[in-house]
Amino acid sequence: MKIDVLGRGWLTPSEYGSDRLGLSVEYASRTTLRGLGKEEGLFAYPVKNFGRFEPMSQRACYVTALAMRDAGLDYSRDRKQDIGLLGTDLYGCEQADLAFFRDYVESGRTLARANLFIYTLPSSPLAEAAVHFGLQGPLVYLRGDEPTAKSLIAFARRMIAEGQAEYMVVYELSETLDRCLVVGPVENTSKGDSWNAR
Amino acid sequence: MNNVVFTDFELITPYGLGVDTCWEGLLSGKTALAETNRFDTSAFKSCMAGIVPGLSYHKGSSVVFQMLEKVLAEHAIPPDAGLLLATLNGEMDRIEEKVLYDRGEPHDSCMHELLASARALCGVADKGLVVSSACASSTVALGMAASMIRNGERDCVVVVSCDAVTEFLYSGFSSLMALDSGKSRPFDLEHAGLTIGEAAGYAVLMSEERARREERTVAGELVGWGMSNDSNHMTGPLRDGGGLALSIEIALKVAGIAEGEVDCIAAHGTGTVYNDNMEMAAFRQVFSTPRPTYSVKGGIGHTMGTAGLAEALIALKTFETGLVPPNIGMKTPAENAVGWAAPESVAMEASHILSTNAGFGGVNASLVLRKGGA
Repeated sequence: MKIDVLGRGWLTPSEYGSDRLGLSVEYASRTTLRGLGKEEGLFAYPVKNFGRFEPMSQRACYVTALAMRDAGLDYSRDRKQDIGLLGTDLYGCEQADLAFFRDYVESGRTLARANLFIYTLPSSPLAEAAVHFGLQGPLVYLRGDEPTAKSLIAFARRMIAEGQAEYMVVYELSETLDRCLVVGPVENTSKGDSWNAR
Repeated sequence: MNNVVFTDFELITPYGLGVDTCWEGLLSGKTALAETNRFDTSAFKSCMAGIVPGLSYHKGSSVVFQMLEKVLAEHAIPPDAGLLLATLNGEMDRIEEKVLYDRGEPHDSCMHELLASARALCGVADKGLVVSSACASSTVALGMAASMIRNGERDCVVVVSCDAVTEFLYSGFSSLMALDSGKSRPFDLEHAGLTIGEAAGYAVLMSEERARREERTVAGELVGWGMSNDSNHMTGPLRDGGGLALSIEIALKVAGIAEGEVDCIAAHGTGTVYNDNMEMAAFRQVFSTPRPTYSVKGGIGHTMGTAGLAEALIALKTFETGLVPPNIGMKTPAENAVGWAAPESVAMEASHILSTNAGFGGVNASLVLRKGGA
């Protein structure tokens, strides 16, 4: 079984797109990153409580939608799929950690906010994507010397090969360029392709 | 494919330094959970925690670093071992110090900084990798390490894990109403929440062939691992246990064994009603008959990302001693745990032990350990 990259989605502060479908859409002139969630056709159905997500979780959901469509994978509200998630970035949840603890200190160190606390894990953005897209495979944040999606592909391949999931979604999240790849089995070499980063 | 065995390991818990110390504490039936004065808990529902004795807070090194220094002081980690660092979120006291005292540099609290410290303490050449999967972090890391060895990518990997009790985490769990007002009582009829604990440890996994060649002492084999996600809710588990059951089934498949071959279960058992009920539902889905099921969290608390490593190392003691530890804090098993979980230790010559963990974001992970090896 050959396991390869089946689709890619990407997001910058001004554009989004996907590689196989050749999609490239400028959005900054008409809406904000948060407002992008209401863009027609981006999500198959609305993301519950999307406005309450912290920005990295919103971005993770955008690129998941783009990459899954690019890979030809459908998703629906009432169906879970054996798809796992691996993600990396530079600084994990540092900003969410600071936001949570500052808020707690400013409120007199008596009452913390649960809706800030839930984002104080580096795996939280992946978890929001797993909930919305019905992805029930492994969910892991990894941070090595090279925090790139490319560095995670070998882990994704191994997880698929040993039966942990049928497909893996691999993330590299950064404020300047979020990347998301769908990795999965291919029947011949013409469908999947090797790494060719945007 | 290579068989994967445990060679060297150590653990520090609220009972003190040593796997044996933790094991003896658990078998004594006495909890290490107690009131904490590490920070002011007067605003919270609980004042209980599992604190490792002799550590300083907001004075010099982070709590997790202090634990790692102690637990790695006499390691026998081969310098060519791969390194995986498993943690929920690492040095959260660094974040506290930044906010409270404007102390430290930007990104001090980031996990790759802790990875560099762990690498130096282990003395390995590998640059390593942080593995974070909420409270299943070390379980996932053990599975990933075993996978690398089984597939021949490496013949030795050390999994290091650590998480500490901090005001950051305590206030967060309190905000979720997850804390027991007293000491946690996993699988008890009156279980009412978790108690946060801290721990650090490491385990060297090696191919059986290399362990034999180097005449290493082998404590057991890691034969199966499975991971899944509930894809249901950010903090609450899937109530029917279907997510955890999936990870158990994958772990059994990787191990190549049937459910009937599992002798006992080292459960996540946090003590929250949602978790404990979810786990019992999962076990009842997978297993045709009850198995002795225990949680160590009544003794050491919920040690978060390190919970899975602690449970795996305690499971190795079950292989060695023929005893399944008690569920500390339990008086009467919850209705759905009757016949599975007991307040007393159980004598059993176990061949296979299942260890399970779950966490925020719906993560689930399971390991199957086998007695013997090499």
